[in-house]
Amino acid sequence: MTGALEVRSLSVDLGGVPVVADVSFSLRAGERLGLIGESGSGKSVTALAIMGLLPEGMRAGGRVELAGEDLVSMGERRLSALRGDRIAMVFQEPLTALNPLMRVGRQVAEVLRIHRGLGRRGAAERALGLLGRVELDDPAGVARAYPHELSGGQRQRVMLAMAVACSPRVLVADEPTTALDVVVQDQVLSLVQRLADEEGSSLLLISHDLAVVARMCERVLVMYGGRLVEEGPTRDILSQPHHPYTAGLVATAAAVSSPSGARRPGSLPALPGSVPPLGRFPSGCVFRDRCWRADRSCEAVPQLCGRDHAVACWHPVGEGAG
Amino acid sequence: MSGTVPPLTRPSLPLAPAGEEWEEAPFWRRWLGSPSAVAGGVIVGAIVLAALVSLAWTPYPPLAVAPAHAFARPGPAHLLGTDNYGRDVLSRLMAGSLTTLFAGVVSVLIAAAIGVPAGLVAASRGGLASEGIMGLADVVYAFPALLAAIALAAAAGASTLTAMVAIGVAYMPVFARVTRSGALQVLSTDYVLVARSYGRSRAAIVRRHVLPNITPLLIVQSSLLFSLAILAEAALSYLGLGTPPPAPSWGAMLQGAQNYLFDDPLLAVWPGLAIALAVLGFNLLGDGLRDVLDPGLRARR
Repeated sequence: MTGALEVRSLSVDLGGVPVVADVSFSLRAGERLGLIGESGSGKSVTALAIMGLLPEGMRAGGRVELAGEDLVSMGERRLSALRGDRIAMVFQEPLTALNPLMRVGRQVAEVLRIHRGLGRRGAAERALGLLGRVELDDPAGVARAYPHELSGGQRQRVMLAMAVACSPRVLVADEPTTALDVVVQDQVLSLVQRLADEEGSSLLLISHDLAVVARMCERVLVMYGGRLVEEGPTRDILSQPHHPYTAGLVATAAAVSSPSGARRPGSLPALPGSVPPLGRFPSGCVFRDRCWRADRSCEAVPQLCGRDHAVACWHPVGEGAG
Repeated sequence: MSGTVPPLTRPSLPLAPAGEEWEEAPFWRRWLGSPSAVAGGVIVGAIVLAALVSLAWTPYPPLAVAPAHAFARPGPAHLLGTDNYGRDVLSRLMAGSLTTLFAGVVSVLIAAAIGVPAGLVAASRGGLASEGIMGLADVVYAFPALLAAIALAAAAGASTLTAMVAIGVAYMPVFARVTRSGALQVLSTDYVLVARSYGRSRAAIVRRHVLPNITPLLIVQSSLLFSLAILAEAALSYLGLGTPPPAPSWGAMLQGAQNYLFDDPLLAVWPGLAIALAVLGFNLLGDGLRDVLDPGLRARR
């Protein structure tokens, strides 16, 4: 059985500099999959590559299969027909995601008019229903409003309504709650989860926040330097991370959330160094310049190995020498 | 794991762009708040009014010759005096404002009709199409407009229309450039990316998202080009390449007046003043509209 979305050896380069390299994963039907990593690790570029929305200058290679069709080699016309209908995306920044000159209702209706061929009135009615489903208090009022009259949380709900309007098989959410405040974050996450369930959409949730992924996703992919370094069930990865990078992430997050160690400044464990700029990643294992376990063997690129819980590392944590 | 884990790397929150959240004052309030919009509106309004009134009424028929009253001084009978044929200057100025406005509207429309689509195609297609279109625009821009007007007048005969075509074509590159840069800015926004993510085609994005969002830019540019077009039409008429006599036109009146500059300098003053006022009015209006329609535009300039 193939998944809802099959990503095979996806790579993206920007003028010859690799941004994403050899990313393969499968998003199963109805699954909620997390993609986690620091800023600059290539998460968002991966999402844009899947959607065929890479900015000018970036080129994708490999395959992204949606129901047997390869999105990477697909023409723009066919891709437009699939986007919003079979595969949809929610972006990070809701404040600028809506056309400032169009009433919100009309923008939601637009999705239905494109893909369902609905007339103005029919689409407007369905849009109203969608705005209600994303738990907006006054759907009719929101539909009449211009984007600047809505709050960030309201706008992100509108974006969600647009994304699920056609019950897509795959919903890509790129940091959907990062720009929102904590209370709203929580509500929006619950909403994403509920809508994905109701529509039967598989969810690819991109985040840099372990807590968000832990709460939402059954499985998680860890990305660093444009490569997948670890993949597995969320519970396993959080309790027994194998890749030193993941281990560092988890330790940092755990220290911050534990009440005892949290308040003392300077006591937080941190990953040494920072993410290098694009094109400055080391050859071989991309993490080896920040890794305390690196040696000569790390000069070769490690492959993602393991069946259920896979890791791309020559010296995984917790196996052999801990 | 509790829900209070902060992100490892906290990205700086992207600020909403200036103007995104600002409370929008009513259009008329903003208009009245801009001195140049008010002044420009008054001047342009007066010219438009004069042109409209001239359709129905002028103090004297603008073409009526009365040699007996030639070179009359301004007075109660002829408010601005009469010219060498005894024609009433005020009447001719009023009728001439119609020619002037008509020339401005048509030449700006010609410029926009070619320049705006060209700019949109250049912005949305990019690559070779963009290079080709903008290259062509540069060539047209580099070609002396006056020479084009002379060539056109020689080929098709001097008329208001040939002058308008020459002016329109000459200003086409300005529209192409403004449109292209505005469109590129809109095309790089998040909401265009979102529109693509829900299946909007390129052409539909240009029509539904780009065009409405650059309309203020185009209105401002039209107003500024309008003043240049008025000046150009007057210049062409003065050179005999535009509106042919005896039809009233400010440029032609100026030319007629130059033979009597020492006998009756006022004859040159009136059309000159009218031209200067019209150009000033449309310039002020364009500047004012820039403030009124898009406060963010000033920062970007």
